[in-house]
Amino acid sequence: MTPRVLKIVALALSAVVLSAACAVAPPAAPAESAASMDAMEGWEGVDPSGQEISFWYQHSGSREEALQAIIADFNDTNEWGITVNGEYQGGYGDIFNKMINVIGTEDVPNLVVAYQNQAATYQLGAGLVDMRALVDSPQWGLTDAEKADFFPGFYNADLFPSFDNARLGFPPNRSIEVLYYNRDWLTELGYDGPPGTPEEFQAMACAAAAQPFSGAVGDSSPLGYQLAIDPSTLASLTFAFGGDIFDYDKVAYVYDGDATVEAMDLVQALFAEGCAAIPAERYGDQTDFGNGTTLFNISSSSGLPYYTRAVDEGSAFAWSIAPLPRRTEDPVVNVYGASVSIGESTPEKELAAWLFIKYYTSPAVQATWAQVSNYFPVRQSVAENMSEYFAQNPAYQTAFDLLPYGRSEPPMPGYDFVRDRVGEVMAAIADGADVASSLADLTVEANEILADQ
Amino acid sequence: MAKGALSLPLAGTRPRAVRRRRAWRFRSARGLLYVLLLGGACVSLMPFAWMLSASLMTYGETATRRWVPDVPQFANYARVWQEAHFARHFLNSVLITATTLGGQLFTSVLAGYAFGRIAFKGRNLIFGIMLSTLMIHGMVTMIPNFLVISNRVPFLPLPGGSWLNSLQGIVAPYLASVFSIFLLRQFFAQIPFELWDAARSDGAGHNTFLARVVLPMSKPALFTVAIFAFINAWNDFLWPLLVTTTDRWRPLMVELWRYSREAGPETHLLMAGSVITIWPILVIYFLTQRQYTEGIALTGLKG
Repeated sequence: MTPRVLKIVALALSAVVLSAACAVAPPAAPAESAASMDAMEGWEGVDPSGQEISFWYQHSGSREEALQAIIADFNDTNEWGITVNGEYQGGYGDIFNKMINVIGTEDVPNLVVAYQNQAATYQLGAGLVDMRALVDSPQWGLTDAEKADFFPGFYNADLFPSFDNARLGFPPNRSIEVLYYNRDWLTELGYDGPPGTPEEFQAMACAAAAQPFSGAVGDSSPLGYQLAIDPSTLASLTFAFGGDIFDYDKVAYVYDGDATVEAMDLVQALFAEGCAAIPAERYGDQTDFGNGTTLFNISSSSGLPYYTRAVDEGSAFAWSIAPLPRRTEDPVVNVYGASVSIGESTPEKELAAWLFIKYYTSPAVQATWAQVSNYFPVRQSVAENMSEYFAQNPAYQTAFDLLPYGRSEPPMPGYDFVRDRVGEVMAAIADGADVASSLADLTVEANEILADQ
Repeated sequence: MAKGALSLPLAGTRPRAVRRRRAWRFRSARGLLYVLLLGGACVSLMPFAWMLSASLMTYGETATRRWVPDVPQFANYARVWQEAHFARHFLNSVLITATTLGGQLFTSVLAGYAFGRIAFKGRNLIFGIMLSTLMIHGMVTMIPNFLVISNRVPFLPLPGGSWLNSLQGIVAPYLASVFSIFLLRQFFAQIPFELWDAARSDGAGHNTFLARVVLPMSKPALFTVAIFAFINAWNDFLWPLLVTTTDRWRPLMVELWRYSREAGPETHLLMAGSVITIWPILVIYFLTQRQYTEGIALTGLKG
C-alpha cells in the first residue's frame, strides 16, 4: 500500500461518510405545536388527509402477519389517504428502552404499543396525547353506543388518575393469567379437577413430582409446577390470595402484604419439597408441559395457541386452563395487555393515528384480530359473535369467562423498574431466601423507585 | 569379575528398558492429553452441533428435546430466508460490516502508528486517557452515543440531522476502536527503529514508512484487528436495534430476534436463522485461520 493509496482511502472514506450524512432526509417538523394540541379540544378543524404515520409494535410471526394485513386494509380503504407504517421494534422491553430515549423528540413514533405503566412513564415527559377529546369528538370520536360496547374494565384501564384521568392509551386486546393443567395426569393421580385452594395445588404438585405421567415424553424429571420468573405471576398469586401489590389509597407498593407473603411461602414450600423448579430455558415450562413432565404452569392466556402446539407435538394429552388456586370466594384473575398510545407530533398526525386506532378496534377488525392472535377482543359485540370460535377452542372460552373477575397491576410510572427487582426477589425466594424480609425489602425499594418518578 | 561380567549386560539393557518405559509413559501421557483435548473439543462443539441438528428438526422434535431429526427439514432454511427477508438483511449486514471494518482499520492504523512511532508532546497522557476508556462498558456509552446519533447534542450537530435509520448511524460509533488502536500500537512499537532510520536516509516520511514498511510487516496484527472488527460488527445486535426503527438498514442479527416469539418458542427456525447468520464468520475464520493465530501469538492476546 503506497502513501498515495492511503490518501485515496482516507478521502474515499470521508466522502462516503459525508455523502451518506448529507443524503439523510431532513428531520421531521419538531413537535412544538403538539403540546398545545393536547389541550386543544377542537379536533373538528383538523384535516388528517395524506398523513403518513409510524406504528411501533412487538408482534412477530402470525400475529405480525395479521396486524400487517389490518394495516394494509386500512391504508387501502381509509378515505383520508392516511398511510400507516407498522414496524416491529423488538419485545416490550426493547420498545420501552427505545421510547424513553426518543420521547419528546421528533423521533417518537405516532403510535406505540405500551402497557399502562409504560405509558405512565412516557407521560412523565409529557410525550403522549390525551385521547379523551379525540374519543369524545363528534366528528372523529366514538358514539355513546360504541363506547358502551367496550368491556368497561378494559376501556377504563387506560384512564390515568395520576395524570388527571387522561386517556393515554386505547385497548386493542387483553389477556389474563391462568393456570394450565394436565387433565390426564390429574386423573392418574386420583383428582377429578384442577386445584381450587393453595393446599390442593401443593398436594397435587407434589403428587405429580412423585408419580410421573404415563404418557410423558422426553427425559425431564416430573415436576408439579414450574415458576416462570415473571412479576405478573407474583401479582396474580397475590390477587388470588386476596391481596394486592399496590395500595391505591396510600399510593404505595405493598409487596409485604399478607397475601403476597402467603403466596410466596407456598412457592418456597414447593421448591423446598422438590415439587417445583424454575424453567431452565426460555419457554422451557411450556415445552415441559407439552411433554407431560410438568403438571401446572401459570402463564398468559395469549399463550394458548403455543400450548396447544406444544401438547399436540409433545405428549398429546387432555389439558385445560383454570383460575389460579385461591383464598377468595370468587376467582380473581390478573387482566393485562398492552394498549396503543399516540406519541405527540402534529395535530394532523395525531388525528390520523387515532383514526387508525378507531379502525383497529372496530368490531369487524377485532373479530379477525382476536381469532388470529388469541387475545381477547375488547368489544362485547365481537365476543357475542364468536360462539363458533369458542366451540372450537374451549380453553379460550374458559379463559374468556373469567374476564368479569379481572384485576390489574398498578399503572404507575416506573413499574417496569420495579418489575426488574420483583423478578430478582422471586428467584431469591425460590432459592430459599427469607420470604417476609425479602418482600419487606422489595416494598421499600419499590416505593423508592416510585418516589423517584 | 563374574559380578562385573554379569553387570555389563545389565548396564547395557537398563537404559533400553528405561527408554522403553519412558517412551511408553510419554505415549500414554500424550494419548491421555489427546483424549482430554478431544473431550474438550467435543464439549465445545456440542452447542454448535446441536444448533445444526435443531435447525433441521420439526418444531415437535425440538420440543421433545431430540438430538437428531428423523427427516432433515432443509425447508426450515428456505422458510427463514424468505419469511424474514434475509436476503435484504444479509446485504445490510455485509455493508455495515464492510464499512465498520474499513473505517476501523483506517483509524486504528493511523492512531496506532502515531502512538507507537511518533514522539509528540502529551503522547503517553493521551494514550493513557484513551486506554482508560476500555474500562467503560459499552452499555454505559450506548445512551450518549444514541443522543449524538439522534442529533440531540446541541454542540455536536450532525450534517443532515438525525442519523437514526441510516448506515452512518449504525457504523459511526464503531469506526474507531480503542482496543484495535492499542493492539496495533503495541505491534508497531516493536518494529526496529533502525528501519525508520534507513527509510529516513532514503528520504521517506511517515506516510511512506507506514505504507511501505510498517503495514507489510504487520499483516498478522492487521488480520487480528480485522477479524475482531468483523466478528463484532457482524454480531452486533443491541445498537442496530436501538438506532433503527424501520427495516431499511436492519442487519441479520436484529431480524433473527423476530424468531423469539412473544409467547412461545420457534427453536427450529431460530436455529436455522442462526446457522445462516454465522456461516460468514466461519468462512472468514477458516480462510484466515493461520494469520489469525499468528496475530494472536504475536500481539500477546489471550482469549
